[in-house]
Formats: sequence, structure tokens, C-alpha cells
Amino acid sequence: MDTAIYVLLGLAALAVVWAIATLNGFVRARNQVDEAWSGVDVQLKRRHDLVPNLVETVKGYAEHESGVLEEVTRARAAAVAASDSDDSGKAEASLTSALGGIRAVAEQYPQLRASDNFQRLQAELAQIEDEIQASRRIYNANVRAFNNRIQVFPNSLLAGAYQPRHFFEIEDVAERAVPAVAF
Amino acid sequence: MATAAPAPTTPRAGRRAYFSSALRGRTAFWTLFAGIGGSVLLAAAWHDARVAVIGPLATLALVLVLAQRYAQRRSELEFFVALAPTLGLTYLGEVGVLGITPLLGAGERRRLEHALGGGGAQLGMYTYEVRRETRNGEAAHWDPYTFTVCIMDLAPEMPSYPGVYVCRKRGLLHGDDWLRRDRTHRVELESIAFNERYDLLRASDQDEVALRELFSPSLVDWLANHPLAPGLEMRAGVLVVWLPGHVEDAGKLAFFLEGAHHLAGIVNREAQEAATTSL
Repeated sequence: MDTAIYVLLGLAALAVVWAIATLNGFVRARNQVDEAWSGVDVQLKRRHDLVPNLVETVKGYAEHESGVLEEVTRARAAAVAASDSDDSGKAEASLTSALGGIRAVAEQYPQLRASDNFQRLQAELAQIEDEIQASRRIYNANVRAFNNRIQVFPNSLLAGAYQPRHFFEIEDVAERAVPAVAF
Repeated sequence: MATAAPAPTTPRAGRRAYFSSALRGRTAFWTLFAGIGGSVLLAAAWHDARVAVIGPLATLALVLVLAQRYAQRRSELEFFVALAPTLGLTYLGEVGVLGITPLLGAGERRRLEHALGGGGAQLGMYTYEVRRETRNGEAAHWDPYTFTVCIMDLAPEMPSYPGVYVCRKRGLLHGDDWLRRDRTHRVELESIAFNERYDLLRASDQDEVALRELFSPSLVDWLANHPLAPGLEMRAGVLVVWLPGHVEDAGKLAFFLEGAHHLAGIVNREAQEAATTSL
């Protein structure tokens, strides 16, 4: 009888230890997801800060392309105002698409393309976009780890207070379109 | 028209041929002759048949071991000499090592064998040995620890990092921890995958802000997902990229060297940006 009580107490102690370790693991994983998101945010802000300089540079050479420049400015404002990862994904996709319009404009203005300032800004933008992709991969990997942690059994028994996070996707609709090839 | 033999992809490719040639050589023949003949004479002189059996067996074992060591050394030499020009490097042989970083200064004995140098990089098979003493203070044995290292000088005009160390996570039986002799602090980054794969440590005088700026998302993502999971150490303008064990595969070494150059490029770029920002 005593042995059975001790065994039950031991199992109960193990269960408590497991529960504490599991809950702490949830907290750590959640905090790392938040930290990774702030890393993504830092890179997105760097891109937002670059856009006004880019617009002014293009304006100096291509004043008549006001439509493209206004679209970029609007997309930037929407991206800055975006609150969560879903809104941010859509807004950043629009900004990426709008910045593609600037590259198209530059193709028609050789003096703009040859400008040192424009080339420097384009190189900086390319580097920032690489960092955005990398920070996005890190964030999504953290989200996957967090979602796995709270959804697998038996962790799911304790994860009632935690909701799965969404991945951060920047969808460029143009990239998904199948290119038409005609010979 | 005779064509040149392709460079070996591993030292194992030539080992068997060198082993066979060593066994067929005159040294092996005369060693066996002397060993067997001597054993028989000793057996007759001591009236002990066991000597006539054990002697030749011991001689044969000795010849096989020496032939195997010869074959290993020659095939390794052939492999690295042939590998060097394919990587754009020059074969340097065994070179001395300056203990600038904790890994290069580890242990009581150190050597860098089959060094290949060029383009500001030195790739080689690094071994350090630790003397393990018994309780009564007598030297018991030497424990060797092997690595493949690529030592690179960073841009001299750039600010140097006093001590940044990235090590693979260690298991329970991890061998020697050469960093325990330095006062280091652990840093956790935002990537779960990176933190599960590596321990990131900084020296006491290493600014953590500068370190976090160095570990940009692209560098963290690259390290967290690189198939070879290289470690790295940075101190006093020197970058050491390392893998555990002696890697003797041409493809893997080429991939490793490419990764080391990639890391050096990132470090130089980040240091340049930091220098520009501080002006």
C-alpha cells in the first residue's frame, strides 16, 4: 500500500515537472516568434525609409511618371500603417509590385539608370530585400516550431491559452502568373 | 594520345595501390626475411617452438602496419597536392599555427598539416593535442582533437571583433571544450533553428550590439541551414571557419572553402558598414 502511494506521488511529481517545463517552453517559443517578428519589422522599416529617397531621385529625371510615383507613395503609406502580419503581407506585396514599376520606368530613362544615386539606392534596396526574405524565413521557421510545440500531443493538453500563429507571406501575384510563351 | 589521370576525389582512391606497392617493395621483403629468419634461428637457439610461430606473425603484423601508414601518408599527400590547383590554392605542406583564436591556441601541441594557401585563405587539417595526466601527476597520454580549418585574414583597415565564437551544440560526450579557458558570454539570437544548432559566444570585451549587427538575418539564416554546419571564430582581424574532423573529400572541401569565403565577405561588408556609420 505504501509502495503504491509512493509510486503515485512520484508520478504526480513527474507530471508537475513536465507541465512546468512544457509551459515554459511555450513561453520561450512565443517570445522567440515575437522577437523574430520584430526582426522582420526592422527590415521592412528600412525599406520604407528608402522609398522617399528613391521617389525623389526618379522624380528628378522622370517628372512625367507621376502615376508610378504616386502608386509607390500610396503603397508605402499602406505598408507603414499595416498592423498585423496578414495586413503587412498584403501591403508589402503591393509595395514590392509598385517598386517594380520604378524599375520599369528606369528602363526608359538611361540618364536615370546611369545616375550614381539611383544605382546606390537600387543596390541598397536589393540588399534590404534579401534581408527581408531571410528574416521572413527565420520568422516562419519560428512560427512553425511554436505551432508544432502547442499542437503535438501531449503538449496540446496544456496549450489551451495559446493560439497558432500565422506565417508571414508576401505574395506577389505577378510572380504566380504562368508566363505566356509563343514561338 | 595519353591523357592525364583525373585528380582523386578522396585519399582512399590511391591508398590500395600504395599499400600493394609497399608490400611488394624491397623494404617489406627484407624486413620479412630478417624477421622470419631471425625467429627461426632464435627458436632453434632457445629450443622454443613458440618463437618460431610468434616471431613471423609479429613481423608480418609490423610490415602490414608500416605499409598501411606509408600508403595513408602517400595517398593523402597525392590527394592534397592534386586538390590544391583545383581550388586555386598552393600546397604548403605542414605549417606553423599562431594561436590567435581559442581553437588555434588550444591544447599543448598543435599542427596544421596539408595546408593549402592562396587568396588570403589557408585551408588545412588541424590537430591539437591535450595532455591528460593521471592522479599522481604522471603524464598518461595525449588526446588528439582534429578539425578542418580555413584561416582568413579580414580586411585590415576594418574594425576587428575582439571575440566572436560560433560552436555547434555539444552533446554529453563532446570531447574537449577549448573555449572554457576564455571568459565568454552566451548570446541567443532570434532564430530557433540557429539556437538549436549553435552556441553563440562573445568575449567579455566584445560589444554585444556590434555582434548583433554582424549577425544579420541573412547570415543567421545561412548558418542555420548550411548543410556542413561550420563553426567560426573571429578575433584580432582573423576569421577561422572550422568543421570537426579531417575532411578528405574534394567536393566537401570545395563547398567548405566557398562557405568560408562567403562568411569572410559578409564580415568585411558588415565591418565596413559599421565603420561608415560611426564616421
